[in-house]
Amino acid sequence: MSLRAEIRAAIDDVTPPAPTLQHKVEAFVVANGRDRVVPMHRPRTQWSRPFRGPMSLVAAVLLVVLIGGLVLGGRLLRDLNAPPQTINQAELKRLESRPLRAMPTVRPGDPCPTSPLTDVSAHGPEAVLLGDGPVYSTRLGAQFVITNWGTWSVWSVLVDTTKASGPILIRARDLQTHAEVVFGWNPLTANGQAGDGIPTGRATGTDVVLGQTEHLYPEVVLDLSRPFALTKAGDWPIFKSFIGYPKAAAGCIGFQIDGTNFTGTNFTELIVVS
Amino acid sequence: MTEVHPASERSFTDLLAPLVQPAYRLACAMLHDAPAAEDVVQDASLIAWRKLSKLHDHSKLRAWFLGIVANECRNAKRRRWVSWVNLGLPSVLSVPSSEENSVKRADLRRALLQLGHDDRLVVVLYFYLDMPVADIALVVGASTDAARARLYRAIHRLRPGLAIEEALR
Repeated sequence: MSLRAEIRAAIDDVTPPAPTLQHKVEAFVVANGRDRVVPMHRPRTQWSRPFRGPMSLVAAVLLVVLIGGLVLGGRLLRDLNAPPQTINQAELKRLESRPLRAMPTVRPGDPCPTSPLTDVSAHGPEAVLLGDGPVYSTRLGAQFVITNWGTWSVWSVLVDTTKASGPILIRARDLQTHAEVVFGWNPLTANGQAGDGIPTGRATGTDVVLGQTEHLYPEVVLDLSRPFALTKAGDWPIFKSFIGYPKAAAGCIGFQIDGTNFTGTNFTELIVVS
Repeated sequence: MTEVHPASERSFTDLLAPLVQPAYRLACAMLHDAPAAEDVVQDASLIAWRKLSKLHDHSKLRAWFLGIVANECRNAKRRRWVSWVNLGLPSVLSVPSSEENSVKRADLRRALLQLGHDDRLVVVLYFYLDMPVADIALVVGASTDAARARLYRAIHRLRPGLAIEEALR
């Protein structure tokens, strides 16, 4: 046996598989990565002195470009508020037109109502999730990010596609304070990846999360044709949404979940594990 | 090699994902302690995330990240020095003595642990992560020649009677 093979065998003995480590790392970075370092500008060097005249001209041109950018930016902002194009727009509008259902009001000190638990272990990696279907959800994250505006977390759902089809629209609010609960793009993943809940509706403001500007959307829509990449064949599709609620909220959240052939609610509370 | 565009929407997690398992294997090989290795990978990932914008040559992401992991392994070992002294070798070395191969592997792990951090690092990178010497040099922050010399020296310490040419096969 070669030395390479011996070393591999010896180290493999003390290297058990860690299939969930990637997710742990992601959650850890989300929870703790607020203080991202921004590179400092280099000090101006002497060699630049002869170029200062021409550079002034360049600066003037850049100013014009900047103004043009602001105009285009305004257009972009309007686009940001447009519904996503990857789903059936007519169906989405029908779902958005449904009124919000009455949800329980939770008084301070009262326990947060929690949806029934359902064993979904036969349909995916999770054992037990909240809800009675066809949309089942995790509790609000064990990992979270606190910003000047509020608290952000990743919220995952599993969809029983034997009972649900088409887009699924989710709206939410805090059951104690009725504060706005919003959705955004996870700053640690590329926007619009398969399995991402797609924030939609008219953005109501912005926050800065992990150094990136986050637009606050009142709704999130799930595109069942594009589930999370790690969903195994035969399993129910998994979707992950980046959800936030302001400091004023209590963290007891009620979700209204509307599909083309169903409507329902899920309730959960923030579970903080430090 | 993945190219990094810090200003783009591509996430660090996307970039980091393919490196988590190699980082974990490196940490396990350096520490022989899986839970501690997971902690090291988490800490190193956070450090890398915070410093990503300082990485100017993005083709070196893998070596840069593994270098952070290696440094965190060194720090973890320092933090755990007292417990290592008190507890002796990790429990994973308590293999059944009746199994000759297990004993041999345990002996080899013990020998690896007796190498200095830098020597163990080059051995692990070369033999366990299959990295070429040029990439190992990037991880340890040395020239290719210096990294090769360190590797040869570590092999000699690990197996004094083994010819280098034979060991490198």
